Amino acid sequence: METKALDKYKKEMVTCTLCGFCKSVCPVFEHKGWDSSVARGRILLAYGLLTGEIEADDSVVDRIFHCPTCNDCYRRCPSKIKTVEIVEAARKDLRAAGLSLPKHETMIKNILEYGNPYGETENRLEKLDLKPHPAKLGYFIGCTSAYRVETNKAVISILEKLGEDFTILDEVCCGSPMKRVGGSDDEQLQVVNHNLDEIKKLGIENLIFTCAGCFKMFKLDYPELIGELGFKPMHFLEYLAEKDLKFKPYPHKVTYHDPCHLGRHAGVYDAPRKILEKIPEIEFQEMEKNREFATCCGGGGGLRIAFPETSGEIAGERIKNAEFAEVITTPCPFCVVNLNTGKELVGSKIEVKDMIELIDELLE
Amino acid sequence: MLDKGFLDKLKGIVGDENCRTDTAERYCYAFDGGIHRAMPDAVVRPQTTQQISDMVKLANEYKVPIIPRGAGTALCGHSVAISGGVSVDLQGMNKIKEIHVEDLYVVVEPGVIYDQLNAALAEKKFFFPPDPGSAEACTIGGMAACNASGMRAIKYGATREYVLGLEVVMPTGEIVEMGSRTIKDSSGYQFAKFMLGSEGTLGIITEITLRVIPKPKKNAVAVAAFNKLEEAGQGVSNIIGYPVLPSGIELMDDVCIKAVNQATNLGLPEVEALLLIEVDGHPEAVKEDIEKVAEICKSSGATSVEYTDDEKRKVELRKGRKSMIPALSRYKPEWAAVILADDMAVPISKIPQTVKAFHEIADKHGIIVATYGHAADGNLHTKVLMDPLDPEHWKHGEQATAEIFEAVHNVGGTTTGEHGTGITKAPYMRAERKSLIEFMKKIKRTLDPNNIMNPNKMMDWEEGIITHLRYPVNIGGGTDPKNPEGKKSGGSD
Repeated sequence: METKALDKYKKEMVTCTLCGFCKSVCPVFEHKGWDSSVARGRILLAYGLLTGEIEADDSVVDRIFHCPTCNDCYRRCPSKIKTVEIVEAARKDLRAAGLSLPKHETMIKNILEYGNPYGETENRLEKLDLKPHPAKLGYFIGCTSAYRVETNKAVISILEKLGEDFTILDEVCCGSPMKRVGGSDDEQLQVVNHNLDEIKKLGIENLIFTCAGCFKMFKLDYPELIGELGFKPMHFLEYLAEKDLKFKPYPHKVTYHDPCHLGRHAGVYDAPRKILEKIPEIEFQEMEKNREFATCCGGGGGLRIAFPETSGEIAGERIKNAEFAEVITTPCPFCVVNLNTGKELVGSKIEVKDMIELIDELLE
Repeated sequence: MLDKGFLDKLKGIVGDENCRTDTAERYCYAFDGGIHRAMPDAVVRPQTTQQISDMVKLANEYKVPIIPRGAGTALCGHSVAISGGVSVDLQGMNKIKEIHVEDLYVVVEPGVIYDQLNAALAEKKFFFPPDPGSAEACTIGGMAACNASGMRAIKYGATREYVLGLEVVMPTGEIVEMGSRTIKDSSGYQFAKFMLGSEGTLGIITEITLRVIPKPKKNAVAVAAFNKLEEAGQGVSNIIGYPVLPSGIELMDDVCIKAVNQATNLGLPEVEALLLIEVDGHPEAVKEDIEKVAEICKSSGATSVEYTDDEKRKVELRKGRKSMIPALSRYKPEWAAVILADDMAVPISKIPQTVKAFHEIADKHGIIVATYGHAADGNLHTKVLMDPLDPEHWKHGEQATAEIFEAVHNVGGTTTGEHGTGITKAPYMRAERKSLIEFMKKIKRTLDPNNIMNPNKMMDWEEGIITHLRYPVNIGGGTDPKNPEGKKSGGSD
């Protein structure tokens, strides 16, 4: 098997001291318990593929893809080994060798054919009855918000209440789901270039997102692929945190879930808390593991689609951590969907609330 | 390759779901935190002592090696399946079975994580002190098997000071209870203590009864900079001789200081040695002790001393120590920190001359040896920095390691203070304990007549250390990097 993507991480893998500290944080390891189901194991397997010591049989493919790319292992790693980058490189090489997972293949095919991972055939702008126009402020809806939840309505409502001139764009999937599961650069560039053309066409200077995956892809992965963007990607909460917002009272006990791709990957922690602080009568309490220490919801990195059982168990655990509150809120629609799965699994009464929808409901 | 009949019976004992023979699992259990690797033929996760006993009896019947394993954080190849066989992962047996702080003991299964035990004890204002560097990942079973310790050993001792009793599955499958639940015990041979440091060669520890003690109410930290390593060493001796009994004294040599400064903006003083000193106890005693420590450091030649009991500041001061390992691992772009000579212990007063000898040996061989460690108990940790993909570096690394241990033995030191022997330190332990090796072998042969329990380790490892390496480098006479099995032939002799 060729290991073009893994080659550049050879030194990184040798530098890993195999200390095993990632065991104390990996959500997959917590549920599986075997040493192949933790960052150290995945790095070893990637290393075995690179050196040719092991064949990429089903067991190896299974473990390499059994990771939500939450980056908590990197956060904890004393040697700061780029664990998620190594996992994504291994997936890229496996896929190039024809060793992908069928559900991921379908997802990539859907993105390239229909512009979204779900295989929805209807254009999202027609579905939502929206039309782009030239504006400095753009809103990137994202596939989950367009086809699975209604965050888009809340975003639009908030922007209208604030009197902003903004536009949506004739977007396709940001490419994040492909990137996480081993999509090639050529495949990623197909969607990247489409989106960049649309952004340029409308003269957008600031582009806002609610999905943590889309935001991370634009903020960190697009520049890796094409260099300088020429516009500023911002999470919607970063944008709102700078505004003078007036809220109706919300007399409930609320906690906040940090999406991994927004928090640990992109470093956005303060904006959501700054906004929640402004809500009158809210009783806000952090979960024991919050900000950079927050545990994953289990939805990302292709885990939910390929391994729903593991993904759901991780989400259930996160819900159990939040049960002191009446409401758990988070701005990422994908986290909302997976936390709801976890809620059902553990039979919790907590309400999982999209933070953008909460803001819209309370914004005067 | 395991006999199919054996494998079927093994699955019958532990259950299909707790037995794996696939590539991914076997490869991941081929490694621990050290430099060696060799794949087991199967990995099992037993759930009960009875399962382990049945499995060991079966392994005797088929003469299959059994390799007990905790979290796989050991640094010397202890749990590397050098003769193949079955890797027995004990992480699944992780219950804290009983907590009796009023009787000063707890009973735990071997897979309980050190930090998790202390989190449970903290609720009752108690703790289990040894504090190994791998505290958040390592298991109590592994700590007992290796007699692990850490920063606090000068005041609180090693794991052996806390093990009151053990339940052990012996190499022939009998379940034996050793020791007791009492603080005092003179009933017969002290076998529970004897098992500590056996590294899985004399049985599988399936339950541990540990003494626990009340947590100190307060602590304070001082950082002292010395232009001369000898002065830092004298400072340590002066503190202990005064007497002040610190809960820990950590030493950093100039290589460690440079590495931290290179990797962070902490701006540590670029001196020959830094000491990080911690005292704990009753608040008034802590205040008195830390002031005295500062005074002693100054009179011993420290160019600067800072001390505090402020929580935030303590975290900042400990930052240098905590950032050292990542800083060292990235000290030079193509080099990495390699576990070769890593855990010697010397008489406290011999630390300065020993560290200087390490630097001279490193210079001679074109590698870097960074030294830090628990200066108050004489336990030094070295990181050998070299290019692990360069065969020449390995040859020099091996020679340097031999010379380092010779220097340690020459000042009356010992090969390993808290990490254990496994494979990587075996030749040096053999050189150090010449009169004991045959005796150890006799005990092993008596208790393990089929030589199935973690065979070919410690006194029975007769090869060098630059072999069965985990790195993709081909060294003459070493392991073929294309041979993932990496096994030494034969499990039983």
